[in-house]
Amino acid sequence: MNADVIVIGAGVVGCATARELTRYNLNVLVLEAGSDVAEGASKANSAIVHAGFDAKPGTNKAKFNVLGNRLFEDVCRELKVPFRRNGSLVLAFGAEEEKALHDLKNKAEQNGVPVVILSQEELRYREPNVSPEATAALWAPTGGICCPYELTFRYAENAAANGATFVFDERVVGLRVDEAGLWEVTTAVGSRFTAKAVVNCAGIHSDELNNLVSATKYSIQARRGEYLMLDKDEDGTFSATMFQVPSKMGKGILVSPTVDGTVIVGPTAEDIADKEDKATTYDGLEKVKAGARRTYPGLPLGKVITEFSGLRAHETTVGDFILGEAPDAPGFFNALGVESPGLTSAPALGVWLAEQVAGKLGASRKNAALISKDVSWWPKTREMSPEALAELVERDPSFGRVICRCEEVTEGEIRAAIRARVGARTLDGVKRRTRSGMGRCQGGFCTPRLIEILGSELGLPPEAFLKSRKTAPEELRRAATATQQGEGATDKVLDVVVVGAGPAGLAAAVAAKQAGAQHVLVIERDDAPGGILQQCIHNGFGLHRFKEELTGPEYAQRYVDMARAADIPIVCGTMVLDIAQGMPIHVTAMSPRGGLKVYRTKSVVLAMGCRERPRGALMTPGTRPAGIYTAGTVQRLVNMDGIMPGKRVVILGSGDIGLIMARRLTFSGAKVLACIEIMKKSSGLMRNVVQCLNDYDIPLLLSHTVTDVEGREHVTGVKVSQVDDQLKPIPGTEIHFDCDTLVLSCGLIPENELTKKAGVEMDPKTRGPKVDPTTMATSSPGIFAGGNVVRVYDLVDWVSRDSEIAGRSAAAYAAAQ
Amino acid sequence: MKLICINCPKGCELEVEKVGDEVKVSGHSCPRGEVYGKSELANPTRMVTGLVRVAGMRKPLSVKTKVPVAKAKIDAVLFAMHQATVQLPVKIGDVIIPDVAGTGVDLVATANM
Repeated sequence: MNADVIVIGAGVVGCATARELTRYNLNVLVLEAGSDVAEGASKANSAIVHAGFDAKPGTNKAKFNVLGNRLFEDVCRELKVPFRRNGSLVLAFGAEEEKALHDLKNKAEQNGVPVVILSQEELRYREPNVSPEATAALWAPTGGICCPYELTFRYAENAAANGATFVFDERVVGLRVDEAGLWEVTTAVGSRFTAKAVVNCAGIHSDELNNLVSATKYSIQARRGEYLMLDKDEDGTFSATMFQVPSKMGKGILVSPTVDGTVIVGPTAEDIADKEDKATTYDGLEKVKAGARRTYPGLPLGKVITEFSGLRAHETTVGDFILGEAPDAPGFFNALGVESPGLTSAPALGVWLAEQVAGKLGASRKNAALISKDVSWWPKTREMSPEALAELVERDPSFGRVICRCEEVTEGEIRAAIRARVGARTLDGVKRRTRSGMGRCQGGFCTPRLIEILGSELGLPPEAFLKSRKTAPEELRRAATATQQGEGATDKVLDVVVVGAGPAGLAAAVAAKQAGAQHVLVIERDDAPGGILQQCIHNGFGLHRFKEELTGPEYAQRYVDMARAADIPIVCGTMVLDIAQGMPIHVTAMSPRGGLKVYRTKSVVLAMGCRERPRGALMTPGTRPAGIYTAGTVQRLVNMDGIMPGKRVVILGSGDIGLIMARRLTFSGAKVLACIEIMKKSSGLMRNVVQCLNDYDIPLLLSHTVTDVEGREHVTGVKVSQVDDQLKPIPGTEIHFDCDTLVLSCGLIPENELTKKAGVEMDPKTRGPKVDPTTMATSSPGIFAGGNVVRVYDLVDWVSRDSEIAGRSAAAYAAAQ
Repeated sequence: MKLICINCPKGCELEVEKVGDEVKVSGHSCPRGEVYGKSELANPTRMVTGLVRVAGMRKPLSVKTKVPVAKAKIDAVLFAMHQATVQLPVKIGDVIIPDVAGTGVDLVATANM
């Protein structure tokens, strides 16, 4: 394949350069070693648009930081990417560091960056949650935040719209000038490409490419940074990006809001030998926590939703960005050693590199009228007004089907992300383009749906997408070139609206109807009623309620039948987005068929159930490969979708679902190697330890935890250590298991996003709404709650019992209005 | 012999001993515990729940043995389950495999499909 210019590397710098090159009459080809854009540092960094106060004056870092920062607004507007100038603060703790602030201020002035020094009072006024130990701060109003991978893929989309071709899974291994004087590029899989010029944007590997062609050798040191991400509940804790005084190794641990409403904390800075090692570590995460607590003493570890690490490409001989044509390799251009502030600099680097290459090749600028502005934009339903959303869903019902409930991402958005020019080919690709699976449950609920949609869009079986979260299935490799009004009348005021059609919701609805409520409606987000019990195919349900032992689906069906017999409409495939207090209460819901709808009702019963704690919340160190699932996700895959996730399994946590799945996976032909529990006793019921583990000789290791997860693409093993009384791993006690699957069963959390939106008072202990146990009434008039949304129950029979109370109370409340 | 009763979440710790021809159970807090203790000593049994293939579909059908079967027979029941393919429609309680693996117990559907 021939091109005028080959850009090597599809990170933010490569994609920005490719896009700027398409402004010229040039044929552009992008070669990427990974399966997607933004696979390296562009996907794992602080997402900060630096003001430019700390770069050494006169360096490329300083120059392009300042230039890039100025371009950011325009670029993000053109590419339709979120960006916010929230400003940056550098905190000083004590007199010594205050001196350092003045040094920074001098540097900032030399770099042309506006800054002011704030007193402690001014700082506290601006950021009330900051540590009282911080005595002063440097304020840089031009600092900002953006979404680095969204920026990268929109750059790629716009480049592709203007004719650039993207080829993935092509790791460049050879570079030479051929007989015709063209650059010949060969890859690990044996492909050959030629071009008049090559731009080296290979990030962490950019030294290797340069050293193939130039006598001026460079050396890149991988410098790992580990991060924690906090839940959206923490949004608003800080308005600016909170830095500490920088050290030789980097800008230190920051705490910053993100454009997505989460809070990012990190990074560490650790030089490592392996350029692929993106594992998180126990020590690293401890450092992040300790560093962040200096800025934010109230750092709530319970709000951690995930942790990750990224690698900076630190050039060791010069310590600056190495930019432009190599002196002894005409037509070979470097963007080498681009570490922080690389993201900030990317827009300026792209423009500058394209100018250099076009100048060298004598390429003319395209007529501006011929340049496409298209970035394959699709609507983000979570940001739309109700009116606009209603109209969209009417045109395309798939925008009414919520797939990721935590981030409210719909099927339409996911399909658009796959169908884009440089579309998603992997679970991670979908996740980064849509945020599906990035929320607090970290894909626990939506993964089975996502692999189904990926499979249907790309013509492959869904399980093909479980092999790696980041590598496209074999069949798709190297193929990803880019040149290619409903039920329930809304006019009348209902008596009781029940949110959720699991046993809690159905029990409440039936009880409300029996207590005299006439107009009862149940709204369910899944496609069928029954709730989580549909996938709990084991027995042991209903001993108290029905005086016999039923399986989950049988128990659920009893309630579905009762609701049908009582003539209660159940609207499925419909997600409640908002509940507004008042009389009547307004319940806003969305569905593919009905679009956006507002139900008016005298009372509401909340019965949304609970969800599992994801891996991120557990802070397990190690890599982040495919093959890690929560027990409930495995249960759904095996029991509902007929998909076996693996053959050799380790279970972390001894929650009941984990124990049940140990037996189920054994029944289905897998080998369950061990169940690991950090506490001194099982968190699941003894009867499940007996009949799910002991019956099948599966060892239960108490006072042990997983201390490392191994494997790059897919899990290959785990390390397990004994813990002491403080639950800290004891060195020297490591046991190793070769496994392909790690199942997490570490507890359930009531699902109360909607409850909080409705303004209901929460109980910090149960993490559910505060309720009066005699009526199940919440703090909000007319809003009742039942089942696992209130607190996590051991037994569904008590869920039904308490939800019946909620249903009767709701009926009584409605009758009194 | 010490046992943990598996009938309900309580998980009572049972003490089961043979006194002559009679089996004495203590530690239970309901009659089901006594029955369990005795049967666990003489002939331990378990409910087996599982999945069978559905013709023309990826989604499997959930099934169970109608009553508990001998623990020693679990492997044979699972094998029979994995060999079977059912045709839809199926209702809860429909017999999927009569006398599964010679246990004298029917394998029945636990979901409507």
